[in-house]
Amino acid sequence: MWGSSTPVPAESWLLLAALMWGTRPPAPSQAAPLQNSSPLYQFDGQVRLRHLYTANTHTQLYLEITPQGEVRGAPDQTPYSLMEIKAVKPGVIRMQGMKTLLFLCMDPSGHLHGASSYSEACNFQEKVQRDGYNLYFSETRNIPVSLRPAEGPPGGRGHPAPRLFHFLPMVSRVPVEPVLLEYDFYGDPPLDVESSDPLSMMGRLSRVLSPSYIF
Amino acid sequence: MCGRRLKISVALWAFVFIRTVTGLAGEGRSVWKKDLNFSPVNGTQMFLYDTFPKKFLWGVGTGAFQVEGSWRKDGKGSSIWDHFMHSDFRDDASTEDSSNSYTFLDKDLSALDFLGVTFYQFSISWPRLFPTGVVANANEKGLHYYNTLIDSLVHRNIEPIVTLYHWDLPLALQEKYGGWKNESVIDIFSDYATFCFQIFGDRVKYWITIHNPYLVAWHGYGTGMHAPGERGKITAVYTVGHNLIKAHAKIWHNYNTRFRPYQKGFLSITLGSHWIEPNKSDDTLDINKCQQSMERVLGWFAKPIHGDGDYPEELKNKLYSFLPNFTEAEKNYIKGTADFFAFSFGPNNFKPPNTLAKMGQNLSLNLREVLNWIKLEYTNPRILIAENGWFTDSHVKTEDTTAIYMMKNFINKVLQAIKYDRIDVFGYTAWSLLDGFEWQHAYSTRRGLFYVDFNSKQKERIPKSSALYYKEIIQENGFFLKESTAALQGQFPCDFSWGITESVLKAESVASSPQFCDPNLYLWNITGDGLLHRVKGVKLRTRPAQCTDFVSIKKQLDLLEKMKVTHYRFALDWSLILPNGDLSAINRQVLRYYRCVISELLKLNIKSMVTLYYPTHAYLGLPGPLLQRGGWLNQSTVQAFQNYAALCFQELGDLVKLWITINEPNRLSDVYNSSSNDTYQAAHNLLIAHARAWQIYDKQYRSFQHGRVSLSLHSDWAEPANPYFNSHLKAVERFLQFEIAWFADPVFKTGDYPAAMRQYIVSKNKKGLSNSFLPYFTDEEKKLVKGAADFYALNHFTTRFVIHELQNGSWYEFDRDVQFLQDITCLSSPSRLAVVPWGMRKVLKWIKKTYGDIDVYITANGIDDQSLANDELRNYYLGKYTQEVLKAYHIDKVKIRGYYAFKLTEEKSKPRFGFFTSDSRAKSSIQIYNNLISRNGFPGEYSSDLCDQSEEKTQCTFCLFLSQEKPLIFFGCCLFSSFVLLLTIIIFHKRKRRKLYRAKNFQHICPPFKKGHKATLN
Repeated sequence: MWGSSTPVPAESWLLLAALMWGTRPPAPSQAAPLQNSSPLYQFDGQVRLRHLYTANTHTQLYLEITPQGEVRGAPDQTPYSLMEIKAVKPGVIRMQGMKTLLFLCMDPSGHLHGASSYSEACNFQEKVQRDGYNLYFSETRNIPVSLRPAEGPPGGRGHPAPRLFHFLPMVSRVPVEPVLLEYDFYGDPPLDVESSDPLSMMGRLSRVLSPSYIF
Repeated sequence: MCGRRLKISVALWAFVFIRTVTGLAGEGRSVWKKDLNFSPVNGTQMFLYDTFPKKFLWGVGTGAFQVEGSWRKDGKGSSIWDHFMHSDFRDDASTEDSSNSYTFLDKDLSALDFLGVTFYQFSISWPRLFPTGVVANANEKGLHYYNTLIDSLVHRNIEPIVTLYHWDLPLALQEKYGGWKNESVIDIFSDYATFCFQIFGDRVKYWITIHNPYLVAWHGYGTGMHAPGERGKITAVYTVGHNLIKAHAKIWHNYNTRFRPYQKGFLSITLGSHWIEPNKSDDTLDINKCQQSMERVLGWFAKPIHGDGDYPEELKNKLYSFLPNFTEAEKNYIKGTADFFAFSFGPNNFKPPNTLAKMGQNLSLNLREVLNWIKLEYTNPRILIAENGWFTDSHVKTEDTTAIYMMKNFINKVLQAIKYDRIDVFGYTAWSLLDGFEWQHAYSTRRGLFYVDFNSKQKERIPKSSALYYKEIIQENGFFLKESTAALQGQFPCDFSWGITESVLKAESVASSPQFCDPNLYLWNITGDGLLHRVKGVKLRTRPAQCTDFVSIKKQLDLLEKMKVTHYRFALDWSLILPNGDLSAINRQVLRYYRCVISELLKLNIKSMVTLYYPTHAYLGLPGPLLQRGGWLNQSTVQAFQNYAALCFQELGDLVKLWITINEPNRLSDVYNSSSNDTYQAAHNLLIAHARAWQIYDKQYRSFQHGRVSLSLHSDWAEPANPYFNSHLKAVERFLQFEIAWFADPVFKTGDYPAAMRQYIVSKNKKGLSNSFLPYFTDEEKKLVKGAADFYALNHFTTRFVIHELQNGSWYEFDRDVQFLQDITCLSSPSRLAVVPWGMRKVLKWIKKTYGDIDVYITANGIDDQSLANDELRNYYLGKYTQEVLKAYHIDKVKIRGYYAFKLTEEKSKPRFGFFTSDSRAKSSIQIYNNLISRNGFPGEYSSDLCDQSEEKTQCTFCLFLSQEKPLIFFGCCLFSSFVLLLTIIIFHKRKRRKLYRAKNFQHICPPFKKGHKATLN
């Protein structure tokens, strides 16, 4: 089109030229640091906190990872179903349970589990469907993530319900609750009325700890 | 009509009046219904520095049987406790004289003089006056003793408060009548009381009939732990209680009608109790159980006497088969038979806990709450704390440090009850004056303010530290904060740096915007499969690398912009930059990331203070190969660090003017804690590594980079836990030497470790308590280390209360012989950091005194706060600590150049130190810090802004407008230029038409445009 000699109205040229000029990076001297105006940021950075929702006509489930590492469907949003979804490369994401900090991973047999350490087996390709739902394929196995509803349709004839493959990342309704602090110096020891030091003033602090070393 | 209305309103007012005057039973429940959202820094809950009412009575108490000794001397009869003790505690026969107050009355009086008390609460030994218990001819010598005691007290202006019965019932009465189970003892006791009123009543204005009747009944007749040692008969327990109440009432009426009119004294009964708190403070069932527990113990005696004359419903319902009844006449007779509420709160009411009706709830030592309960249940009575204190183990002599803090806590709770809860407490009795016989514990615990060696002949009364502390409280009539001066108004210098500290910044090793690196063009979802399809044959030109490629930087900048700080302190990741430990592999991408952080920050006008090495317990941060070779125990790490530092100076030094080599090397070295020698060797290597890095900067980079380099030392302050003991004061000095001077002396002072530290370790070696060896610096190393810092950087978080405690073993933590105490009265964080703002000023003063007038940067200061949004503890901490920094700057003239709050964000499952949560949500303390920074301290109302930035500001309003409205301005320009162009073209056309020429040359205008576009597209 550009090579053709058909005359183009001068006005549109001007507009285009102006737009091209506008997209040039601003000169460094007067640049404000990274305004939050880029369309790339409309997904709130690289990290999303979502519940993975799936449903058929009878059931609706949220994918959750239990503290034991079991992956299952929960009928409601729970602290264990809140996932941190982070892109690791184009089209590929990894998911981490916010409560347990376990990664969603797939073992060679295609079985899903929660793993405490991140590996290649925890990468999933995110494929967006027309209806807005996503499919997640294991990057290494190319097997999709799926959940089996606990029960079939009401009054069913005992056939196991078909697995659900399509997921919708939903915004969390569960308040992000404070994570349990697992430090041994937390919590007061119980009152020991038989002791000359009932409130345990002595021996509670045996070492000099620095806050900058706890992290 | 009017009359009726009047009647109703009178009835209403009467109801209100009754409610307010006779507290309704069960109202005490509301004490437990606390507001769960109570702020940790709520003024009414924190330690109160204030004074007691002017006429507040300060006293000390003893029980006759506990201290008098001389149990067979001068015609004294046996008591049930003499009998009980000699049958149950045979082993203690050698110490049966106890403190022998009967003989050493003068020593007791001197002890009272020493304390400066306003009253002395003691008890009269009934069998000493009447050996058989029955009032006949009094034992002359016993009578003389008590007359002398009372006269001496009156002479000294010390009010005597006399208890008639502190558990030493004449044995004859026990044997003849069965003790308090028998109602006949009531009359005999009343006769004895009448005798005492007649003989001593002219001088004694405060009388206590019985000390803690609950324990008499419960342990004397229930558990069998007290004399007479009967157990198991629950009917007997409640009969004894019944008789004790009736005996008290009879004596009160007797005193009220026969003696009060001319003696004008007051009479009561001392009731003791525990305190209890519900498992869940919002559970009504739990609260009811607490109420029941209190009614079973305190209510048993308090409700008949201070309430409506009858037992609590709880007792009547649950124990109806054991509990005797009061007739209506008796109820009226008993009701109101106390002129004040004498309350005892001490270990005897808590021990042993398994004999107590706890109802599955939690025992508590909160004196203030139990006073509130009494106020609500018994109509706000005047209260005398007739016994309070805790005990120490028998081996503790005069250094009773825990007793100081127990006393401090108890007395302050009383003060809070008076000031905030309007409870009418008019006197306090510290228990006890002397060490003595402690009932079922015999001599295995001590409760005296004065130590007595029971085996000695002279039984000298030696003041313990708790006596010295009590004396101070009495002198000041309360608590006075000596360490803190009034708040100062003032500002910091104009070039003061207000910063925020962050730990290691995790660098992105791959740019997170691949769309700018990938030259291919894609089409999405062409076949509906949601996949990207590459368009073959099309290559786009990629954009050169730039800082926006790292998305995480933007997040950091957003947070920092909200902090409004001038400086940002963060740490580099050594192991990421040099994964092999040496310069064989340099991760340029990581370096570029850090450079981007620094340069983007500079655009926000935030300067960086960069820490080269920031280890933590979880992540030592050493490159793998170095870690495998022994880390800081291996000298090669020193060289590796030097190379790493040089690389950082070279790569980033043009942008960074403040460098910290190592964060808290004094904590890092104690990570190497398998032996003290490891710790000292690691420290030695760290010091040399820092010094080498500093030397390189000084020689190679300073001349053109003009920066400053130092190391951050963990510098908490220490206070003696027991200020009355020289050993504690020495322990403080030693702690500072071992903690701070260990690293600071070589660098800022001598080039060698502190002499005091070296000497102490040598002396421990000599005693065979330690094999530690503190390394020596060579002369060359001394030159290297000495002076190798451009300023003093300290990380300060808290103040520790230090105790001297001799320890045996070759570990760094043992070498200094120091133990710590948690001051329970001090505000502290969830991770138990005590909030002691004045400690900050003291450590700053100490640094100036010890290391001279050097520049000081506070490179970390902060606290953990449980709250995720409204972090009031951090607000409080920040305000108070910076105020002390200001005082150190203005009053003590410490050259403080910057303050860095700790820290920017916190991590999941870690103590919450961040201004932002782990998911980057802002907490309210950010606002406080913003204000502090914008006002540059605490300026007075009328003080003018010393830092004149007006010129800069006016200049910048235009800059600001430009930068903020950039898109608008740009769009306006575009619009304007296209309009101008359009106009020229139209004019051009019109002219041509006017000239009636055919526009042949029109196409000449277009081709240049086309060419231009081609160029840009390719």
